[in-house]
Amino acid sequence: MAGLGIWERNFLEGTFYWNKIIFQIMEVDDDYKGSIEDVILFYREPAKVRALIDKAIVSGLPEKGELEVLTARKTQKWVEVRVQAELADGLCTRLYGTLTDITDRRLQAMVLEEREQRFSKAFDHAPIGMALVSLTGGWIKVNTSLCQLFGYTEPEFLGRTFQDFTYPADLESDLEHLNLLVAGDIGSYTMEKRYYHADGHIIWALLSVSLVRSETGSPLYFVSQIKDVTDQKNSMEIISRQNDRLLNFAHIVSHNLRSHSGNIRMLTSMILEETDPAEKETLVQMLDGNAVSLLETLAHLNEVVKVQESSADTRVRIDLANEVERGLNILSASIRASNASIVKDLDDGIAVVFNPAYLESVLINLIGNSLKYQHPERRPEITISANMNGGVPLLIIADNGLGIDLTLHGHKLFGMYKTFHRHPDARGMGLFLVKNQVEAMGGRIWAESQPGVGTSFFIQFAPLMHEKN
Amino acid sequence: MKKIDIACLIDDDEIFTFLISKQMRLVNFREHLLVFNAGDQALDYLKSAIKTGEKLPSVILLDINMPVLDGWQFLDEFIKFDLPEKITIHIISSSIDQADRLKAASYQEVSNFYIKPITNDNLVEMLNSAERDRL
Repeated sequence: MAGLGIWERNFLEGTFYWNKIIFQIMEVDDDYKGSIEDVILFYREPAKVRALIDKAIVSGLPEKGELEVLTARKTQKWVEVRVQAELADGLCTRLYGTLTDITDRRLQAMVLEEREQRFSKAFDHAPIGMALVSLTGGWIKVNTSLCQLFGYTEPEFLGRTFQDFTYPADLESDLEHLNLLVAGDIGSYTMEKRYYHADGHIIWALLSVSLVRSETGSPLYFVSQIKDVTDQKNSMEIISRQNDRLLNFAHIVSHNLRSHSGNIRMLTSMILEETDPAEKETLVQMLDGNAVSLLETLAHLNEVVKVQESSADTRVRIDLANEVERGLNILSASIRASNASIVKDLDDGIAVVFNPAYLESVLINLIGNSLKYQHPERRPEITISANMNGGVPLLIIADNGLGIDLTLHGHKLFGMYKTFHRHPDARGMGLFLVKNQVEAMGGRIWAESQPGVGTSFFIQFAPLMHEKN
Repeated sequence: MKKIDIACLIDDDEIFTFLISKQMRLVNFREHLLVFNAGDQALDYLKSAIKTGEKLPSVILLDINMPVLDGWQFLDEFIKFDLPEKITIHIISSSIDQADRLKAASYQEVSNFYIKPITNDNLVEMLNSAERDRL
């Protein structure tokens, strides 16, 4: 069907010419002869043909247009029409031009356009973040989900690169993968990585990237899919922490309950064999003592279980400065007895979302420890400070006490029944419970210490924005 | 059991150390028993005994869970010692945790792992094996 249709209409001579191609395009018999008005009616929108002819007459130049026709056999086609007019004394004497069947080309273009629209829709409305990224990392196009995920508007994206959003530790691995992709060594890749949200917090994402190449195979741009897996990651962390606690618990049961029962077993067998009544009495006294400490251990374990059971419902918004004041009041007798100086440096209005009883326990344990493990050669000085650190409340309790060798004991610091000083009141319960209480409330606790210099405990509370949900 | 002059017990559980001392008398172990309630105290003693050429214990019964320096931390220091003669180490623990057993086995210096309570037979076995090691 391909070929150039040629037509001519001479108004002076009243002649009409179509070449064979046009007869084929219009699907008419070889003897067809129509007036210009008849011919115009082949067109779906005759007004457009008339406009095209008028334009050619006015301009005196070749004009062209793409128009839809309905042939004699009612076949729908697309044609490209070229028209040029010849004028004499302001009157049109001749019209001539060409006609090409462009139906195939038009259909292809429509398919492409539809495909483009479909991609655009899928891209814009995808529930996961999607982006087209240039070979150097610049955002070319981002969808609504990605804007929501990262907290930036689309224009804010466009001046930046993905490197600007990436958590530094995860950048190298991502770039290595991109290089492999460009080199053609891999077809696509998926990795877990961290990004920064506009407000500074970290987002965990599952990133899938593929590369779009030109027809000749040269790389054009990357298509990235970014799925938010922060909640999943956090859940995994909670599960892993719970697992640790469970192991810890099993460990405690194994070590501490068994040590009491072992002693009881040894005592009873000795009591049964003992013949000396005085010695027997001593052993019975020891048995009694052991029974008491066994009950104490069980009470400790019960306390641990209680912390694990506590749910989010027990959290309320508490003013941190008020709570520190309350804690210091409760400890006032010990503070006076040890002549400790307390320095408070708490920013105003810091609120935390916490179980009130836990917060009291945390403060009393940590401040109490600072008093308990004071350095014998100096007056205890305890600094309690709090600030908002990137939207997250941070509490620091620092002392100038004995300190702990963390390289030696760091891994045991928050373990149950772990003690680091030969102090008569050291039971190895305080820090263990504090850690459990802080973590049950979604926070984190860590310590810095130097033997002979002092210890600082840091408590990072759960970000306050969780409260809004 | 004549060859054993000194045995050493490192355990913070005072009831247990009392009971073991009594048990030792029951199985006719009449020599010297040194008791330490913490790993670092035992280390200090051994260090100075090595330096002064004092008679060292031939057997150490070592608990794992102790305040300040636990049994593992004691072992990590102990293996650095340059001993004039072998000291047999037995771990005595309440732990039935397999991980503790495996960890103990990773120390060449540890002969055996006993789970508390310790019976008279266990005790005799521990002291005898120390004697065998010395031959």
